[in-house]
Amino acid sequence: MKTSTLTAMLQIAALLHLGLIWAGASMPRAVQLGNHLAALPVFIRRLFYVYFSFIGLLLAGFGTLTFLFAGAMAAGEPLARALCVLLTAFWLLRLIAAAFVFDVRPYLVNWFYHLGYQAINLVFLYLLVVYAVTAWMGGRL
Amino acid sequence: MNALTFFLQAAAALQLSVAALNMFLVPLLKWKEDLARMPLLLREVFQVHAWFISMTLAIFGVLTWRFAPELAADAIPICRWLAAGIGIFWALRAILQVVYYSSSHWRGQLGRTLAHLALLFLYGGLAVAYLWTALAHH
Repeated sequence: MKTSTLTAMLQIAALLHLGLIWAGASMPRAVQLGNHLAALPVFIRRLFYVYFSFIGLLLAGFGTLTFLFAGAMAAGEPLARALCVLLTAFWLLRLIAAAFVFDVRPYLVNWFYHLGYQAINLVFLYLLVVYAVTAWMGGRL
Repeated sequence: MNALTFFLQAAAALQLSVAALNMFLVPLLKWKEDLARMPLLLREVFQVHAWFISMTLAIFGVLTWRFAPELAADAIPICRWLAAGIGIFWALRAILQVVYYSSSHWRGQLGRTLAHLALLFLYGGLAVAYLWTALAHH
């Protein structure tokens, strides 16, 4: 693999963050979030939305940093590489949560949701592999 | 060590503390019964979001602690962008503390008012530290 290939893979990873933001934004409608949260105390309901918004903001931030500094990451620049190590841990935990924590079966009511759910898991896997490869091989290609 | 490096390392330590505290928010604030009323998936989403906010704060804290001198010196372009990103994160969090959470949660209760003010200064302080870092060399 060449540094330019790894850079391109990182830029694809950056763009995939946009897909995750879109998927996250469609979640409230798919699971009728508003109805479920209405039964909760106001503070917890607002905290839920704050968490939800900030996860979206973080995805935008991680995607932007990855797109702008894909070259530095692929070249093994120390701060960029450290970011890749930590993002590897982040996406590994996210994949574990998808596999072992969430039970989404009741909500996969049509083929589109099934397809979207599998696509999201593939994106998590792709992000994990790309950041892990960059953390491991960045600057040594 | 210059002053900005010191402030960044203090910010790193504070973020690691907030990350740890956030993991125990449900038992600390006795929300278990309220959360039990949510459907299983949403309860899991809430919990996983909380873990990932903690994980992200830990990422911010570890990177800031390890690379504080580079961030303070604006050694390479990614330093400025990372500092700006973290600064915007905390600035938005400070704004939400004022405009989104209802004042009825703390008004008239001394302990809660002090907690509200402490969090506001913490979030605002972190925003200032990182945005200053991002803009100091510009």
